[in-house]
Amino acid sequence: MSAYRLTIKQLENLLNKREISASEIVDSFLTRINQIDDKVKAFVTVTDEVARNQAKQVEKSPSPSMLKGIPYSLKDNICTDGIKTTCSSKMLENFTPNYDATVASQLKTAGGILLGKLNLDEFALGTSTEQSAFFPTCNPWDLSRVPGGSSGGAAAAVAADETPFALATDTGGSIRQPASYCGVVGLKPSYGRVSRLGVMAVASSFDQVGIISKNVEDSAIVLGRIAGKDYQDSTSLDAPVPDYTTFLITDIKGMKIAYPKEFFAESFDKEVKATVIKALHKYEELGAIVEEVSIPNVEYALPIYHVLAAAEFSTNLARLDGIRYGFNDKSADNLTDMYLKNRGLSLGAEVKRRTLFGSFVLSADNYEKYYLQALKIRNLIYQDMQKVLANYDIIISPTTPNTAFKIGEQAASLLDLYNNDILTVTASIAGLPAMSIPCGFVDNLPVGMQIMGKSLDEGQLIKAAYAFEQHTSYHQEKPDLGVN
Amino acid sequence: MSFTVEEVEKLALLAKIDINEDIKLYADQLNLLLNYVSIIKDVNTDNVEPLIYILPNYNVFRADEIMPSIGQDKILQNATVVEEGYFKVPKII
Repeated sequence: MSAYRLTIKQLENLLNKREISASEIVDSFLTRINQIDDKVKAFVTVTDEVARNQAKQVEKSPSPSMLKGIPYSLKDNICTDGIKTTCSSKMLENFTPNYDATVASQLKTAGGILLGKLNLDEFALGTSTEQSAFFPTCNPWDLSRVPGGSSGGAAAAVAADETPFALATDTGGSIRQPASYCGVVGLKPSYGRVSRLGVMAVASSFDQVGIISKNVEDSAIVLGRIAGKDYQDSTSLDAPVPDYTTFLITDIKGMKIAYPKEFFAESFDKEVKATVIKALHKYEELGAIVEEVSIPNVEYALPIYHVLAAAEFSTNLARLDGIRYGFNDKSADNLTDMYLKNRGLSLGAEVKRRTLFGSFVLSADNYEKYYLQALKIRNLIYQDMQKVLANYDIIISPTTPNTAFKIGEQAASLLDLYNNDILTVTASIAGLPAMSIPCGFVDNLPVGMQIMGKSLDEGQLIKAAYAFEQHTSYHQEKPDLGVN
Repeated sequence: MSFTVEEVEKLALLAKIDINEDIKLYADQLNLLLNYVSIIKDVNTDNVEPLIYILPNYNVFRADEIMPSIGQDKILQNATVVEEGYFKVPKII
């Protein structure tokens, strides 16, 4: 079988047995990217030279170790030293960071090999990757459909076998929703579990770096490498990092699973719901205790998310002025004009909209009515989730209310686009770890199941996901891209 | 409350973003969004504390040690207008 089809674990086994070299693996992926990325359009930058050089470096030191010689790709909002990091924005089209994000540096140190940088909705705002300032990415399962977003490039690249795994970011669902649409595994760790140094901030009280991979085992392997305290990120938690591979067990007898009725609402796609309910029956067969619960305040989750995330985003975006880096029009003759022009000419419509909305909810007249009120409701939702998790090990729901939609289909409707995050924002609001794994197909399009858990209890998620995966074969299905 | 074109213009100036496209469209979309989130005003939050920070971290300290820093030339390399080691901006006063 071609190397590009393989998982991290399978590649590692071949490397350890010296049946393949790091250079051969890299060549296999670069050839694959070359053959199909014209169709999928997952990559903003392919770092072929860097990858070939890193492979040669790795081959010089003979001792095998975890992730050594394994290729990976990064969402293009994760800074890479000497390699352009654009956020898929005209503002940062020519921005070359001079340091690595901590997560990038961790993979580099481990001997991982960078294949390239992946497309996203501009500044990670969006649910379809159509908001990229460069080009939309296509869903490998149906090229006329979106891959989801904002990490659409990452999910599409993993689904199309262009990279064994990718690191991406999730603010309100940006890892889980595209993973669901593309039929791959997406893991958003607990808030504070992974360092965010060098990762472009969207909404700082929600953002987290996570993993998109072909299966659960690979996700566990990579999380073990990137989790933990970073002294340069004061929001990263100083908590012990377990060996996540010890949770790769199939016995889940007695595991307590809650499914909130609000997450199976009338307006969501019937077949998507039926697919997830079938998965819940599978858990019962495996000996888990599955019970319905209610999380009443969840109807306010998406509205408060849009207030809080816009407020935080508009604040974070203030740094982008084109002075120290980024787009500079150079024609302005006074400072205010320079700000207005540099930002006005280089930022896309969605970025502008959310910045305006964020400025609005933070303004003196509206602060209490919207921003402060949203923070209070955030507390109510947080408490709701804690109450459920005091009695259950995990919470299961569909990841998205529908399967992947057509490119352009929702462009006219802002609220439809926002609605794609309706099931994923709750875990983000409460800072909880959440994962999306493939659980079936509707009309040949993947359906994702979301598993949420207690803060810092990624192990339970991995255990539940692994048990389901080992008793089903959805994760082994591959899109047909006409090239083998 | 709803956004008028004038209010969007005022906000854009506050947020320092030139809106060179159709301002009316922005106003319509912001009204849609505002209407959507307005449901939160009906929630009774008497005696509920705002959840400002989700982690138990409080005063995160680290040792005050000298670490290597990125050099001036590297810091300036992404700026488009630089003069004598400074970032250059248009006249302020």
